[in-house]
Amino acid sequence: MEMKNIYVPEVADLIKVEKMTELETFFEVKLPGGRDLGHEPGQFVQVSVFGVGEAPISVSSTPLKKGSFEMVVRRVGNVTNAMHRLKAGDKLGIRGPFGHGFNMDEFAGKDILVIAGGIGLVPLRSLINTVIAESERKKYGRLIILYGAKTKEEFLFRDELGMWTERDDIEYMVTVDRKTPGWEGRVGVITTLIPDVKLDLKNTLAVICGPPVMYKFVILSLRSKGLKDNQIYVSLERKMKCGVGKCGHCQINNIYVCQEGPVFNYARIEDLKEAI
Amino acid sequence: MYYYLRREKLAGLLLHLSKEWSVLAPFRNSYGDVTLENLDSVAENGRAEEIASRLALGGRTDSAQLLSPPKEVFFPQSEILFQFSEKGNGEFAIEQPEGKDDPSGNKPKLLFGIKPCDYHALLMTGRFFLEDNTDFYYSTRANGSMVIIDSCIVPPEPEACFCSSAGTGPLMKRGDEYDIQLVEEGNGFIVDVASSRGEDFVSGLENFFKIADEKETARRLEEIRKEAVGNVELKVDFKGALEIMKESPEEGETGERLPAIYREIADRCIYCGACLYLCPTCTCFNVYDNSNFCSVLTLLEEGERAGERVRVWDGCVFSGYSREASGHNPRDDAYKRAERRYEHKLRYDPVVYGRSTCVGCGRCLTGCPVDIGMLKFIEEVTVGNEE
Repeated sequence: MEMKNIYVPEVADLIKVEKMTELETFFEVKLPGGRDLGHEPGQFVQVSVFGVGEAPISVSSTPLKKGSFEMVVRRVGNVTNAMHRLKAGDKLGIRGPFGHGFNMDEFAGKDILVIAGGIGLVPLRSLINTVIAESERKKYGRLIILYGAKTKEEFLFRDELGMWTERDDIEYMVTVDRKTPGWEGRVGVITTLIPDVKLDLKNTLAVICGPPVMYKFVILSLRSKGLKDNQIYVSLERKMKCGVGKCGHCQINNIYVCQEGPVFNYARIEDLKEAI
Repeated sequence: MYYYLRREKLAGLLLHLSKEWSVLAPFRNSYGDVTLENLDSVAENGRAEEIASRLALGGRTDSAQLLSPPKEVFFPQSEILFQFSEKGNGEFAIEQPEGKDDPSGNKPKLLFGIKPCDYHALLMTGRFFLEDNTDFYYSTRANGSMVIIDSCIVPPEPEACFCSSAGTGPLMKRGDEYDIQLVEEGNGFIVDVASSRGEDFVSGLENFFKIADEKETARRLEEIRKEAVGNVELKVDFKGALEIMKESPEEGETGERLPAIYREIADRCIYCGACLYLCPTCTCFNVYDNSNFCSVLTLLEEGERAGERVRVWDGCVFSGYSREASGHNPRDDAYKRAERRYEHKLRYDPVVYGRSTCVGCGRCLTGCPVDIGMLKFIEEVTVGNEE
C-alpha cells in the first residue's frame, strides 16, 4: 500500500476573498470535489501559497457548513501577506485539519462563556456558529460572548456581531481598548467585561482565545469569579512548520501544540512553564 | 550465535555486500576526518586496497567517531519534500521526489560500523519519525536498512563521550535491540549476531564469517566489556542528573542551581547551532519554498512557474525558531532557549520515551566553539553528588 505523505498539500480553490479590516481578509476555500474538511471547531489547517511557503491558519467556519470552509487571516508574515494578494479563482494548498479543537460533546448542556480578543475571535467563531445553528442551539445552555478589539475599526464579522446583539439566546458584550469617533460602547480591556457577567458556576465552561498577553489576566479574572481551572479552555498559538508533530517548533515542554492542541483544557497546561 | 571475521576479509566482504546493499561505512579522508561514505564512491577510485586503507573500523585499534552523526543518512540536512509547477491555469501540479535525490537509489542501506551510542540514537530517531504520523521521507530512506555495530573497546579521540554513564555503550548487551555487533579481537572481529535478521544476514556468507565457540566467545566478550567500560574515563552521574531534572527546577537546592547554569550557558552561547546539527537525536526542521517566480513581495519572472518545498535542520537555540509571524516569541530570552535545549533531552524526553535522548556521544562538546556541552552541563548539575 502506498504510504500517505503527510507533508504534501491538496490543491484547493479559493472561491471567495473579502477584505474585512485593514489587516484581515476573509477567505472561503473549496476542497477538490467540494469534499468537507471534516474539522471540529478550534482546529487549524496548513495553508500553502506555492512559491512562498506554508502557514498554520485557524478554521473559522462551523463544521455544519458543507462544501467549503472559511478562514480569516491577518497579514503579518510572508505567507499571510501573499495570501492577501490572492483573489477568488486562485489556487492554494491545504493540509489538515490538524490537532484537537473543542470537543462539542463536552459542551452539551453547558453554559458557554466565550472570551475573544482581536483575531482570537476567528477560531472561536467556528464554535459560536456551531452552538447557534438552529439545529444545535437547544443542545447547549446560555451562550455568553465577550469580545474585545483595539478599536471599532478592527471588529471582524460585523454582520454577525449585529446578529448576536439582536438574538435573545446570545448574551453579547463588546469593548474596545480605545475609543474612536462614532463609538458609544464600552472602553477598556476585555477583563473589564467579566465582573458584570453572572455565571452558573457549576454548569459553565469558558473558552479563551486572544493575544498572548490576554490569557493570564482573563484566567485570573475567571478564577476570582469562582470558575475552576478544568472549566476553562484556551486555544494557544505557536510557530508551526509541519502540523504533524515532527518539526518541533510548537512544543511546550513535552507537548506538541499541533497535536494535542491548539485547544487545551487549562488544567492540563497550567503547570507547564512555557504555556502561557 | 557468534562468528569471527578476519580483518583481511573486510574489504572483500563490503564489496560483496555492495551488490545487494547500498553499503555505508566509516572512511577516513585525507584530513583525518571520519565520515560515512558510500562504498560505491570509495571503490570507484581504487579497489579493495583503497577500502582497506581508508576504512576506520575496529573499536580497539582504530576507534574513531563519525564526524557527523548517522541520522543524516535517513534525515539529511536539507531535502526536497516535493516539487511544484504551474499547469497554465493557475493550478499547481505536485510531484514527489520519491527518493530520487537519495544516493543509495533503490538498494536498502547497510550502515556498516556504527558506534553503539549512534546506534541507540538511530533507534530513537527511527521511533520518532516512523511511529505516529509516519514521516514519508525518513521512512523511504530507511526502508529495509540494517545497521552493523562496531563497538568501542577504547573510546575515540578526542575523548568527550560518556556512553557508560548514559547507558548506550561501549558494547551492546544481549537483550538490547540490535542485529549484529562487531567487537575487535586479535586480527579481526568477534561477530555477535543477536537477532534472526542478523542470522539471515550472515547465512550464505560462510566465506567471511566463521562460526565461533559459543561459550568461549561469550566469556571473552564479557572480559572485553569489562575492559571497555574501564577504558571510558569520562564518567558522569547521568542518572543523578535525570533525577534532578525531573524535579521542578523552581524547587529545592538544585532547583536554585539550574537557573544559574542556564543563565551562564545563555550568556556564553554564540548560537551557532553546532550542538544541534551534531546531535544524533536532534530532529527539528524548518520548511521553506524555493521558486523561480516568487520572492516575498514580487514576481521574479514570467514563464512557467515552478519551485520546490525544502526542509532543513533547525534548532531550538535559534531565536527565530519559536518566533511567530506576529513577532511574539514564547522563548524570547536566550535563557529560555538554553533551558529548552537541556530540558528537552534530560527532562521531557525521558517522560515521553522512558529514557533520555542524550546518548553521550560528546559531539555537542567537541563541536562547541565556547566549550558548552551536555557533558559539562551534567557535571555542573550534579556537583556534590559524587560518590
